[in-house]
Amino acid sequence: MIPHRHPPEDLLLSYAAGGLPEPVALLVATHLALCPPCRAQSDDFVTLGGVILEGIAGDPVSPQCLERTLARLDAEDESPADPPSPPVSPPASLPQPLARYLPGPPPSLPWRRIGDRIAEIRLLRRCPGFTTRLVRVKEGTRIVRHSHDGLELTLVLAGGYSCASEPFRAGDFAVADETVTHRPVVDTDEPCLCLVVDTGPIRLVGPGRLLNPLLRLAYALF
Amino acid sequence: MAADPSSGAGTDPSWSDLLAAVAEKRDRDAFSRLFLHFGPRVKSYLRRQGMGNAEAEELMQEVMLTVWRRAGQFDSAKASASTWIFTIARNRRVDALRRERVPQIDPNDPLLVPQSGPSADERIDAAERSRRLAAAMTELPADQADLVRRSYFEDKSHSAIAAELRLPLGTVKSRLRLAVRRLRALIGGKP
Repeated sequence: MIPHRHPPEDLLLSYAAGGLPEPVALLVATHLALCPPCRAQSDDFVTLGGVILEGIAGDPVSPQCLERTLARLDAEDESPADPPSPPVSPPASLPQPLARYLPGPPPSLPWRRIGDRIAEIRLLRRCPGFTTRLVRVKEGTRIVRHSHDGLELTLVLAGGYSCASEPFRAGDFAVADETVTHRPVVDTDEPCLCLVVDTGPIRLVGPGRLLNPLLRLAYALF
Repeated sequence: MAADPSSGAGTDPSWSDLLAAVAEKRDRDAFSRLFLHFGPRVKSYLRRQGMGNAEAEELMQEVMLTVWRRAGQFDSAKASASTWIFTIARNRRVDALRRERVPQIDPNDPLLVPQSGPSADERIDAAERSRRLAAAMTELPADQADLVRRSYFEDKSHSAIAAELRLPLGTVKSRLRLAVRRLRALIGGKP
């Protein structure tokens, strides 16, 4: 099934150009695995990268540069070949770009439970300014109404949720900024699994703001 | 849209042949020709991201050594030579400047959702796609083409990207989006 909600075109272009920070690039790449039309578009943008490289005026290169490089070819051929890319994480239940960032398939992961309805795993902690989480929310859960100080990007991997009666299902890519106040409901009959990247803190709206900090964190998920 | 032959300079199939010669015969002469053509361009690409002369030249050599090492993985049906070398340069650049990887799909991933039926993109070969894109870039209004081109050269800090991601519509992003849609329409993709 083809997803219905896609990353904006400028994000696909930035991804192909290598201009996205790793957490956002991971989100886009995982969407590409699930979305053939966006994959075709992204391929075009990579092709365009080649066209642009071909079209730029070259920078002068020092005269010995070619010789020095040629001299390194022998060593290059003697050095061990590139390690083969790691095998597909078995048994793959998540698409490849994401699976490579996880120590195993979802059931075996070190989930951090928050209450009895939500569990999460933090990824890519080394990337400053971005909070990247794999989040699992039990079916039927209603998230407290909230908005965001930054941008929040969500990719649904399994199950789904609805926001203001708009459904988001596997493969769908959602963008929420500070103008969006929402109260998502997991309305599928299986848990909702999402990859979520935040660039700023979450603001709770209404009674939720009185929650304790741990629960705040729990609700800072969508 | 008929391809404009004058704009197809970037997709000379001989670069693919040279890569094949490197892969199959470890042909140093072919490698030298690839180096003389792509080396200065890769260096220029790296310098435009703010790298110094020596650093850019060193990394360019690394890129060309990777071309030598991986020439066997090049598939001319899937990408033109310049596109393939671009992705190597791009990945090395992201690694060097940000110590990050570019997460990518795995074409052999069983979970990859397949294309249903051949897409418009699959019916034309890689070289033809490059030609169409090169032609489309010349048909874009100059400011839009410039905006697109610049997005391939800018390496911004995380905080700059985060700040930009937060910008509302009506700014650079929406102008870029417009340019991209126009480009897609010009190459016959869906707008």
